[in-house]
Amino acid sequence: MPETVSVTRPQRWDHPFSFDLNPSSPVTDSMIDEWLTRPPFNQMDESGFRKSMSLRDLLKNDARLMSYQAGDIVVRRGDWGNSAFFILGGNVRAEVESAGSSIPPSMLGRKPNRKRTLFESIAQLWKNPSAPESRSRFTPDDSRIGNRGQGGQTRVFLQDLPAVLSGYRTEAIPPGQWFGELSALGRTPRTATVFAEGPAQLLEVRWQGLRDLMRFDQNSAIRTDVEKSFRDHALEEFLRNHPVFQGLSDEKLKILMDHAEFRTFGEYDSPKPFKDLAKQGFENNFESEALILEEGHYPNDVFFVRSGLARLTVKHHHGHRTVGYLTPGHAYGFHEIAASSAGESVPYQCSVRAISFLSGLLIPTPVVQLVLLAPDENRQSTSVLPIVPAPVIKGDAVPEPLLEFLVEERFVQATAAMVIDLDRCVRCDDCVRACATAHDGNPRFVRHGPIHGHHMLANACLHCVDPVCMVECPTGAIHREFASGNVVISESSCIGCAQCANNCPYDAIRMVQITDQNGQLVVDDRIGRPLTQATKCDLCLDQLGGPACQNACAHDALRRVDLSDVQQLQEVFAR
Amino acid sequence: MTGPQQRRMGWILVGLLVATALGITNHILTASHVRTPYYFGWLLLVMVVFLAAFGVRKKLTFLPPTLIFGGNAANWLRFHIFIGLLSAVVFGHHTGLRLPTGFVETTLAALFLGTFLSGVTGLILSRVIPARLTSRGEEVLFERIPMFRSRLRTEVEELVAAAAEKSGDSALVEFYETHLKEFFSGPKHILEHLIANKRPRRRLLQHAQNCRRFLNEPEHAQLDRITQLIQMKDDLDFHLALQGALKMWLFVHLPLTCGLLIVAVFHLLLVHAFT
Repeated sequence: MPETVSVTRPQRWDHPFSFDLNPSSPVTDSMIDEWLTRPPFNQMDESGFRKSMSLRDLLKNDARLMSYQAGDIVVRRGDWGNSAFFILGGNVRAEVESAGSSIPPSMLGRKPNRKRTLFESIAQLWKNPSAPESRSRFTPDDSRIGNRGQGGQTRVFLQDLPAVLSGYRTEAIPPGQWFGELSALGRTPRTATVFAEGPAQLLEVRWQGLRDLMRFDQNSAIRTDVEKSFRDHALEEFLRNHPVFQGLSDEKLKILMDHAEFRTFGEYDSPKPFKDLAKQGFENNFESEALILEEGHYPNDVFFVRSGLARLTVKHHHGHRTVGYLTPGHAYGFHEIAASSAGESVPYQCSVRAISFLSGLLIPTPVVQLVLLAPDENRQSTSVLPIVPAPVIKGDAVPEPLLEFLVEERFVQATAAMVIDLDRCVRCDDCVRACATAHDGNPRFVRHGPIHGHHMLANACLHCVDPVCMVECPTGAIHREFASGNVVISESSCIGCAQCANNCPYDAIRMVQITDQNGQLVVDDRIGRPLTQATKCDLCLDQLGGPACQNACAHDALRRVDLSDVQQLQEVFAR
Repeated sequence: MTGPQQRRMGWILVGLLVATALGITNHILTASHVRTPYYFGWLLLVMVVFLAAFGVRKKLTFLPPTLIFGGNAANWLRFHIFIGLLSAVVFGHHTGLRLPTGFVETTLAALFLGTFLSGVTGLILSRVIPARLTSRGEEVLFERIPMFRSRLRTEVEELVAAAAEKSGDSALVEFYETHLKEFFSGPKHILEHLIANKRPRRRLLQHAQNCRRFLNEPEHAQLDRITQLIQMKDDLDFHLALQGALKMWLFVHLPLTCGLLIVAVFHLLLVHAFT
């Protein structure tokens, strides 16, 4: 019999949120006492909280006090975070987006969005440095920003705050307000850049804590604020941008906004769930997936995915088989409700289950029938069914074993998976060489990865729908590029903490030791160790021709594939 | 017929049409006393230059396919194959299918035929080998094969040594020394792998099976693992042989292409100098 080791099962609060920042400055009882004298905490009814999870426990373990100096950036538009902020005191401002005058990406420590010129592109052939991972500069690209602090406490700050205040439209957020709560709960990108105008103290609450504060407070002090915020901002934006709701009158949109329910499903206590889940196997994964709609039940709602991924399953003997998946923007339940409206009684044909964490909208059947299925003179088509984005479902293009593979390995996240047809690939590595040429002589992927049939999904960045790599980046160096949506790393603000590389479930991010232009290893002068930076595929964002790997493949074996696009799946996997 | 097959049939049909048109043109021009070898020579040179330009195109992967004549590398390869096969027809018309005379002509003809045949070999290999590679063993990067081979050798040597130490018997050591030492020492049976001959693998597994009756119960487990390692090493050799073949033909094709270009230009100069 194998030997066993007895340990105490890890608990949720073994590692309080404040320990991430500085273990020597935890949240103290006196801090909590002070917070509890302020709204909304003093308006909360503690009777609903469990004894093992009191309001004080939640604040002690899921919150931390953050101090900012003038110019410090708290969150950036486009960042992904798993926490919300409550302003305890001080001056905090948010940039208000207005056409043509938003703070430039380089000023926020991001990679400048610029394509190479034709000459610069060709010059790569002889100008690329011979030393690996050579960097020409080790300070931010833009002199208007700086870094202070170390590791997880690093702050990116605006050097010339008055210029930002005078040059861009900003609004003060008064003390006592929350921000960042919707993106934390929905796992969606931050929608505005927020920075400190002067010294400010913020209470940062991690996602799980905010969820429980909303769940157990009998007075709904925070829930009311969050739901109002969601209905005022995110819901309207979602409805106005979704093709299904295009052309609806304001009156009908209002009905939808009044009745749509924002829900989150699934758990994530760790930002790296896929890595762990992939090792557990199908049955264990399946059991842990939250059920959203159940096969065979009366269709009470249509479900829209706002963020995250869902699996469609049908019962098969004593188990369940995966027949499709939903990505953001997809909806399920329309066809059943349409059939019911036509007089047939059709239950849900599939179960919908959240793969890991998911947020979405439930719209009740009567509202769907009234607003979307009833004739509307403002809309060109009387039926919404043709414009409901089609989820990926089992078929000739996507046979069931492939579907199971893509879902189980979580490749359905991919918007740009590198799929290599091994029956065509001659292993010439032209793709790797092309990638190296496009990245100063350094390839940004390894031609290796999981294989299904004769297709390999190589270890290159998938540019995920839900990029967990971005969640814990302390400087926002890894971010989505606004124009393309590609996940990229800014060399000028990457501090080499490796959070992104550790969180990436697909081993697509590599930490490399950087050198100067003479090939000398660059060493951090504070700690005397080699400086490392995270590197990954950026889909050749600055190249004129797009992904060099795909362009280089003479045998048409390598394709970058958006796995939410049925047509692309068919083109690649049914060859 | 599926999409790729339809495309392939389309290329073949166009190729046949062009070849027929070239034949008719040659017939008409020859009947009209036009210097057909001269014009076909120029055409052939243009085709060879275009074919050689594929190597340059492959380096320009960072440029938009729309900016480059012919589009992406995959399109260029299709043209490369098409023009390459057609060049044999033009070569036939240029030479009149006569045997070359003189040093330059002979060298030029040999270089052309060498380049053409190595290209056809490469085409066949690139169509046949990838699917064979997928069907056997783990996908492995060519450059990492020596490292994996070294690991396998270390593991098998440690297993044999541990088994001998534990049992005090040398049956496994003898088996290793007699049948496996050389096999694990480096790449083996390359030719057999290329022609899909599995006899060496079966022979080694048979030796392992024969050895089993001389071992005690604990040594059986070690032999089972050694058997697995034999198969893994054989799969590595298989990948080395096939991936090597996919790379090696280019080491013939590319130098011949360079030589062909140089001698063709020299041939052109001679033609213009002495006519």
